[in-house]
Amino acid sequence: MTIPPNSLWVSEMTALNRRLEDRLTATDHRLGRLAQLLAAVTQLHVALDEAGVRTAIKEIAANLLGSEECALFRGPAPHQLELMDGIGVDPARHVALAADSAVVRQALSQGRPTVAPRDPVLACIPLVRHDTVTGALVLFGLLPQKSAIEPEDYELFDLLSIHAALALHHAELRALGRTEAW
Amino acid sequence: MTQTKRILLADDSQTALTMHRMILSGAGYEILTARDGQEAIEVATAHRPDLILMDVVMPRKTGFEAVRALRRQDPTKDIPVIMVTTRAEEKVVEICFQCGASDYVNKPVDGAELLAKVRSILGN
Repeated sequence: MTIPPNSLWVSEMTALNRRLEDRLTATDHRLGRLAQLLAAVTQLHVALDEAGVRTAIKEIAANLLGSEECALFRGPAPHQLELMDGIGVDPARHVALAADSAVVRQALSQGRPTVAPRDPVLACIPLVRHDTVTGALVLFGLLPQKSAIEPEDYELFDLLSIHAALALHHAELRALGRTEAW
Repeated sequence: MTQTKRILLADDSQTALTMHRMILSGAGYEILTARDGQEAIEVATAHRPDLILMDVVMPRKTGFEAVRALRRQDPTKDIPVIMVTTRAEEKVVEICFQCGASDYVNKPVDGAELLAKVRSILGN
């Protein structure tokens, strides 16, 4: 075996180390995103009542999405939205913003999370159960250190869309004191 | 045999605790938890973790108050603390270091950044 000159070997090992460090960072990042998704679905479904589910949704918005200006609504259509809870919400202002928002209208009609950075509503995540929109989580703003919704946030949006709706429904059934097969 | 490093997570958000626990236990660290600043002081005093990840806004005592208290007592004064903040403004960062924190991360916490900071303090 031919042993390459030292400087060439060192530079190759340095480059290899750099690639391995980059892979480790990428793996750690992905671990963090998976932990976010698992934490979110866990907290939604361990909540025993509607108040607990609402708390879990707010914690997800603040800690995982980076929004401290958001509102949780019940209702299938923009002008039928009923404010359930929120963070940093002025009911008079934010309910009107949501009702008049093209982002909210599109999200509720299509049943898909919708993002529009230049709309007064930053993002709308419809809560969907059995293909029926039952409510929405509307984000009005992000923490200063987060400049925009990121592509990876859509995984959490999709999770919330299904599991927040389901968790609220199960909480409602528990309150009514009966069970229903899903 | 290398002893497993212990990290105390102090946060009033169960969602944040669950996520940070998953990231850090997945990387091989042993995890302790506390739900407010006062409990963080009690757990840190009783168990002497190798590192504390401390949320700022918590009931009973804030993260800043808890760190100042930890720095005043011999058993815990040298435990490194990473603050978890929702605000990245210079003034908040300044307060973090003034109260005795070793570093900080902003919410929403990035797993790679968190692990890099933990490893820089505790080693791999």
